[in-house]
Amino acid sequence: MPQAFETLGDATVRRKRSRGRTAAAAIAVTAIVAGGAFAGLRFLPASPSEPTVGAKVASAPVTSPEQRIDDVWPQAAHEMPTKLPDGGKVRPRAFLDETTVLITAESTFEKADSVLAYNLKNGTTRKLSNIPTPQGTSLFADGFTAGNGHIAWWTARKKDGKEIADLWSVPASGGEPAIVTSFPLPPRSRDGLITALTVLPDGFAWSMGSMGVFKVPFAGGDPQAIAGTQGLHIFQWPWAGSPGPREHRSAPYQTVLNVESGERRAAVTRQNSQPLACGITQCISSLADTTEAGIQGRDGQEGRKVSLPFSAVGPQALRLDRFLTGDGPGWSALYDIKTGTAVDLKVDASGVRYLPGSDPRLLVLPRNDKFLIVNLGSIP
Amino acid sequence: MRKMKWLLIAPLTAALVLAVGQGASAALLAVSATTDYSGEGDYWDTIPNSPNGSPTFRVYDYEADGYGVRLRSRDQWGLTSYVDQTAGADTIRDYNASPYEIAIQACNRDALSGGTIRVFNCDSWVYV
Repeated sequence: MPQAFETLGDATVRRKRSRGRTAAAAIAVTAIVAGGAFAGLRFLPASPSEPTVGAKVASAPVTSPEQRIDDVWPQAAHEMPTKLPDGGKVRPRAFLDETTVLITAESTFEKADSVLAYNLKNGTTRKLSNIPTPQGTSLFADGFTAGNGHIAWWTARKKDGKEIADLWSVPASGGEPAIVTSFPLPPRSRDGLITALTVLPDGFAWSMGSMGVFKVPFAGGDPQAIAGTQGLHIFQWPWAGSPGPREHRSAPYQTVLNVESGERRAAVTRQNSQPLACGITQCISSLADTTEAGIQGRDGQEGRKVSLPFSAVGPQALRLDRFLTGDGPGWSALYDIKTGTAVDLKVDASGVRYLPGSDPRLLVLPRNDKFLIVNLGSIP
Repeated sequence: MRKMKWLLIAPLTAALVLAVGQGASAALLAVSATTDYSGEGDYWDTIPNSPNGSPTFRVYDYEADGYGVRLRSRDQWGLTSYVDQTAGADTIRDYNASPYEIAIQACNRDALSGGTIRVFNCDSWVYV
C-alpha cells in the first residue's frame, strides 16, 4: 500500500547534525530513524480537496468503493499534465465550457504569469492572456474565475504602507487584461482576503474577509458593499453564507442568504448530529464516530438516512448540492448523495490536495504526476 | 516582510487514538490549546481529526505570496527534522509525525539561487 504522506520521521535524513554529538544522541538517531520508518509504513488518508478539517472516524472498517470514477462517469473524469511543454507549472482554475479548462502557468513559484485554455479532449493549449505583475506586488494573481464572457483574477500590492488589491479582467476569448477596480485589502485574518470572486451578468462580485460581499460593474468604479452581508461569504451566487470556506471546525455555509431576494436558509440537522456539508437546499450531517449520516433539506422536511462510504470525511461544502468527498486508508472517494453512488477517485499518495476554486463543478486532484479533473456538472 | 500563510493542525483526538494503537511508547501528539499565530491570517489549530488513528499535521498555503512553508519538528533528543509544503497557493498537505516528535514549528521558505533555501518568519515552537 502506498504511503500517503511524507513523514516528519522520514525527513530525518535531512536533519542537521551538530559536531561532537554524543553517543547517546547517536543512539537516539537510530531510534528516530527506526521510529520514522515505522511511521512511514503507516498510512494516513487525506481529506480531499477541501479546506475544512474535522474528520470523523468510522465505527467499522470501510473499504474503498469498488468502482473507479473513470469507469462510472467517464464523461466527468479527465487527466491533464501538471506542466506545459516548456516546463511551466500549470494550475486548473475553472471550466470555460464542458471540455475546456481555464488554466494558469507559473514562471516562478506561485507566480502565475499567463492564462490559457486547455482542451481536455485533444490536450491542446491556447494562450489567452498575459498576467501583469504591478510594481510592489505582494500577492501574485489568484482567485481566477470565468463566466459571462469574462475571465477575472486579483493581485495585491503594497503602496504607502497599505495593501491594495487590483481586480483584473480579460475577455474570455483572450486579449489584454485591464484593472477593473482597486481597493484596500482588509487585514489578513482567518476569514481570508478575497474569496469566491465571481463573474455576474453585469459585473463582478467577491467576498472580502469578514466584511461581506461586494460588487462592481464591468465598467469599473468603486466596489459597493451589499447590505446585510457582513460576515458572509459567497457560496454560489446569489447565495452567500457562514461559516466561510476557511472554517475548519464545522461545515461551511450552514446558514445561507440569497443576496438578491433576501431569502435566508439555515441548516436543519438531526438530533445529536453535526453538519458535514451543506449545499443550497440541503445538508448532510453525521453522528459522531459512525458512518451513519442524515440528509436533511433546509426546508425542514423529513430527511433520509444514508451510510457514508468513507472512514473519514471533513466538513466541506456540498458541491452542486449533491457531491461529497472523503477518505479511507489509502484511497479517496466521491459520493453522490442524490444517487447514492460512490466511486474511487484513484488519486496518488502525495498527500497534496487542491482547495476548491470559484467553479463548483471543478474538482482537481493529484494522480500520478497528472491532474485528475472532475467535471461534476457533467454527472447526470 | 511577507507574512506567513499557512495553517497547521495538530489533532488531539488522533493523538489519543495513536496512543491506544501503539501502546505506551507513542508520544501524545496533542497541542493543548488553539493558538493564533501572530502572523496575519495564519493559525495553529487543535481540531480533532483522526481518520485512522494516526497523528497528522495539516499545512495550508492560502496566498500566492511566492513562498512555501517549512514544517520543522524537534524530538526528545533535541534533533530537528523538517518537511516542506511547496505545492503552491490554495493547497493543503498532510504530514504524518513520528511518535518521537515533541515540538512543531512552521516557517516560510524561499528557494534562492544555487539551491539555497531561506527560512524565515518562523512561528514559536509549539510543544505537542
